[in-house]
Amino acid sequence: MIDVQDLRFAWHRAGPEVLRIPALHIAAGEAVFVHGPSGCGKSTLLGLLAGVLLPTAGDVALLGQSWAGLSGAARDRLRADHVGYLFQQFNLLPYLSVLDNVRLPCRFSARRAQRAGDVTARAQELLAAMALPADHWGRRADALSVGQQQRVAAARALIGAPELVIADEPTSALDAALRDGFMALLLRHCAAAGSTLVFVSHDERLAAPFARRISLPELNLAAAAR
Amino acid sequence: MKALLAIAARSAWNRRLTLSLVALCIALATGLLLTLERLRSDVRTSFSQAVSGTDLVVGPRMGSLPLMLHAVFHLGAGGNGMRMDSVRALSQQRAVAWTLPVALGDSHRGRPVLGTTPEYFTRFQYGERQPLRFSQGRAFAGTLDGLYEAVVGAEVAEHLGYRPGQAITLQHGGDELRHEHEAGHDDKPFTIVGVLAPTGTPVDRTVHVSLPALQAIHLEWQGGAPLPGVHIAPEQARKFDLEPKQVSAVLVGLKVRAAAFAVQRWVAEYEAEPLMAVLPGLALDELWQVLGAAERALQAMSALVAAVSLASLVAVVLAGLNERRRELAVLRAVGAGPRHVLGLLTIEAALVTLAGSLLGAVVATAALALAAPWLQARWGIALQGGWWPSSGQALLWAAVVLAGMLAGLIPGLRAYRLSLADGLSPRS
Repeated sequence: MIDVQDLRFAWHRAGPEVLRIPALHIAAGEAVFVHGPSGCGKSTLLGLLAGVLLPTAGDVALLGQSWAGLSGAARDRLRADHVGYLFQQFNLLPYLSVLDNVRLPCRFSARRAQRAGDVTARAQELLAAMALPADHWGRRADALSVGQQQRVAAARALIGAPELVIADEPTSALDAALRDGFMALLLRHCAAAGSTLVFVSHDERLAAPFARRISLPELNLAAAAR
Repeated sequence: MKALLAIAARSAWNRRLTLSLVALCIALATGLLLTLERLRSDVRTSFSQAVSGTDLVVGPRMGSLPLMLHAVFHLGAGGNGMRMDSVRALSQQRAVAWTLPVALGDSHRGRPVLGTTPEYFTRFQYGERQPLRFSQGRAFAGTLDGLYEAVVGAEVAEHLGYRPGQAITLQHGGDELRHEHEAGHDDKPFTIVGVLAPTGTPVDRTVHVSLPALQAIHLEWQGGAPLPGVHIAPEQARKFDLEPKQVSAVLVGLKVRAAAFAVQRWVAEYEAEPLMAVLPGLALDELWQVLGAAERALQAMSALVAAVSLASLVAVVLAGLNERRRELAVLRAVGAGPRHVLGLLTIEAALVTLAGSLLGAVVATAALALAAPWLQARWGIALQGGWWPSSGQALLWAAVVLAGMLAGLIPGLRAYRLSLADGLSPRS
């Protein structure tokens, strides 16, 4: 699923190295927890895995396809087709309805629209699975509470069953009770869709349900060198 | 593309207050630009339509522009005048079909008084060779019985509330030269017998009387002032020789237009007095060369206003960009590429420009349609082809929209660079 080889990354050509990862392999269907303190390069790693950033040296590949070997437009297409992405917060376009937000990836990816089948029906299914009441679906996204918004974002990341779901601290804006419910839903539906989950957080208390845990400071040799 | 358009529209609607202010800016600029363009071209056309069917204007030697302004637009001072026997000699030329002598100099409440022959009302043409029409009454008779008859233009009748049957008096010279008691023709009142239909030309502002009538009211005058102690009653005046001795100019119609240059040469070589003949079209072109500079200044000004409004569009979209980095990152996360982001911003600017310029076009069209009767009556400017936008206006409108789309590329390219640099996590 994901293959990282001799990865090096710096924001500027002459700037300090932020990441140096000799090797990282994540198999299809795995649920991986990546943890590390703030500022250790977690978001940068996710940007590299999603092909938004390109490594300074070395190689990052998704589904056997090296990101660096693709043009910008081809990277956008590969990401749209195979990657669902979850942010810390503000995941949604405030001016679209909840339902339109969930359907959004299918507007940019024909493959995900096709895999979803009836896009609207699938979006409603996912929203129901994420325990969002039906009377919320037509509302503007910013009319929802933060916890509800994160569940809408999870439904959006899962629509069209992308091979990889990347979650960047998606629970940091939620309180403890909401957090546990959200984690359970996310893990269950990733498993149901057969999606690989890469979950990043500084909070090690969340690691329990994950079969595989990676400490980024241990993995990242650039941090050790500093 | 369709998905992007829908998102751009929704996103713009979400910020409708700021964007509608910008659109209003663009609407005002477009409205100004289109109104000015229309007035500019229609003033030009109206001017050039003040006279038609007249092949030559002949008068004293004074420069072609002053002669035109005096004889056709009834503006400015005339020259020394043209003797009546010269007019007769001219009308006996083989190429000449008709002559309309015109005598100016007196006024009625700021409007010029034109002395001419009854033939004037059947011969004179304006615009696209339209003849004069009477909305009320008839032409003055031109006989001794009908000596004190007058025909007024549409604007004179409407503004001063005149109808056939009413009596008016004339003043000597222009209004500003008048001294209350000494320089009037109050002793010989005229009766209005006809009112002309509106033409959108100087005819609307003119009071028409016969040439013998002008002769009659000036019987006891000499050198521009009344002779002291002499008084001739209106009835007595009819017994004098009222044959006009000289006129201000002559409008000439030719049998064939091609003869214009030959007649012009004959006039220039006429030995009894110094005269000149002017081709009305050429003289009007000369007039527009004079007015062209002011016209261009106005055009440049309204183009600047349009540029400023587009600059404000760019400024507003750019200023909003920082707050929208989150929105752009979300779009990228769901699969939009930087080129989609570029498209989104450019479409937004185009939508705002389109909305603004459409509103501006509607406002300009409505304003012109509403003002059309007033423009025609007060300024003699006729809207060509009614209120529907002219091709010149359509072209300007398209230019504004195109400029707006190009201007939208500026924030678009900035967003493109930002979203390349930010990736999925805005670094702000």
